[in-house]
Amino acid sequence: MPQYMLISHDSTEIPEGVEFTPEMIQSVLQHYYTWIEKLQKSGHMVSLNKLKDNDFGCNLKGIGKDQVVTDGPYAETKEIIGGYWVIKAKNYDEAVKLASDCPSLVYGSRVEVREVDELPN
Amino acid sequence: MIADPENKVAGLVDHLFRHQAGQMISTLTRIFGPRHIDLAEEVVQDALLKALQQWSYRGVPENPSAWLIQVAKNRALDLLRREASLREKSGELVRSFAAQEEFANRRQELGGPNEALDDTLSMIFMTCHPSIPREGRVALTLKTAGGFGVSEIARAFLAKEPTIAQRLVRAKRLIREEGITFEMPSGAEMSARLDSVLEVLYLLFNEGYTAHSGENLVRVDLCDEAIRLSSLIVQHPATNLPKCHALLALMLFQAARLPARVGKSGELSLLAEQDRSLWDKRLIDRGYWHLDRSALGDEFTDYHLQAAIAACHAAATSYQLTNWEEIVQLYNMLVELNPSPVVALNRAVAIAKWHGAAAGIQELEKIIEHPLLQHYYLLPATMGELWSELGEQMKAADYYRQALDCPCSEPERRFLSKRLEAASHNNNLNPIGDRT
Repeated sequence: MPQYMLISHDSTEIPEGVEFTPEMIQSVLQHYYTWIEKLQKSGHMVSLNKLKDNDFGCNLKGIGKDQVVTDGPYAETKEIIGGYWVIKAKNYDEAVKLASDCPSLVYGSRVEVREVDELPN
Repeated sequence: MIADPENKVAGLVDHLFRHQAGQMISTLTRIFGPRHIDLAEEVVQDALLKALQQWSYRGVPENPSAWLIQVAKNRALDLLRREASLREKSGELVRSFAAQEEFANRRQELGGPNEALDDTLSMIFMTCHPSIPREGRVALTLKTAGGFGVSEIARAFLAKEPTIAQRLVRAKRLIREEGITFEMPSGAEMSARLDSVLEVLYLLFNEGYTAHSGENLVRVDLCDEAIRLSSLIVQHPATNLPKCHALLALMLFQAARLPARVGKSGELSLLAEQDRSLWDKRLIDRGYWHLDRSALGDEFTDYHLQAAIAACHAAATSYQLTNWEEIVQLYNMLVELNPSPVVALNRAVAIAKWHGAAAGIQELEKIIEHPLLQHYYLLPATMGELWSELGEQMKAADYYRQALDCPCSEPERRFLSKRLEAASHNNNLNPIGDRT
């Protein structure tokens, strides 16, 4: 079955005037667990990973003496890739359907769905 | 990691973050000093947000509390170091923080006293300091030791968020200005300071138990928090005192009835009508345990009497089989100890049950003019009940109308409207009928 990567594009800006109370943070977390568990039980979830967001990584461009390394490619953008989930699905339609209730969407992130291009056996 | 699809995602203990936040804010306030509660809150907030980001992918770590505390401590050191490079004065904070950490670690190795409990209680004694206005005490205790957010406190007290925020700012300013310390009081000071703490917890519980207005009849979170903090208080050797057990017993007996207090559609269910099989036996047992402990000693407080009254209700298998004589006697003592009109009102209800509705009305008429009861819906509501019992539906309806003019919660309002309708109907009156 084809695999799809759900990429979470998260905002780096904390919305103003929103209070994150401990209880609220816990309920958001629980929301993710419920969603992940659902996909695990149905056998759709393959793997998942969070990307470190302390320095937002760095970017490389060019080779040799032309190579440029820059910190944090997101200086101008307000989005970072926060993490990803790899799921199994019959086709794009099913993948989109499985991603449709991803909690990140509730909390303002954009979720990109991409099919993994696998080599034929 | 929860990368293994076979791996079941671990759930979270109820209120883990809230309780953990309260604990961490308390510990960090000890380390930073009472002047820096804001810093403690900020650090804890950062730690919780970090947990949200990481745990949402990785699952709950094996020891979530230790994880959170470690992250908060690291974050605190980061912040302090950054500050220190800006201002020499903060250098002292960093050194003191590091020294305290070392001390704490060593104490843990030595199996020292329960530091977490010490911290929470010191925090409560500080936030319940008599120099802080009562409303500020309640709000600050919930915000710090309780781990509640401003929005949650505002919802619980039906206040606006800026109002609560202002109370918190004022309370914190008082702590700085008055030099209120972060410690358990000792000696002669303990008893009075403890009374202030117990009063706050009692208010917290009652606010949750009898919501005065708004849609929700019971705000269980407040009751739970009051019970949780009271349980911590009786755990500590310095505050393991009879009156603390008495207050906790009272809360437990009352809380046991909560499942029966609100009907399926959120309507009020009076003690007389409650399905007693819904009462939480576990809480009642805990209540008796603490009631026993409240009797060890010669101190006798109104919490003792209120707990004893609540125990009488808990022991009765039905409303009819309640030992009203004993309850009236307990109320007689309570009125002497605490001559409040609300106590007198409750005493009148018990007298009505023991000697009949007419005797109850006679008692109520003694307090009907009391200024503190003029907007208290329970007085006219009780009058309505008693007159209705005597078959005087017109008088009953009149009192129900008066009760409806007072502030009360929506379920209570619906309950009163139903009573008014029944009384009016029995009297062939239009329920909205004019009073002329």
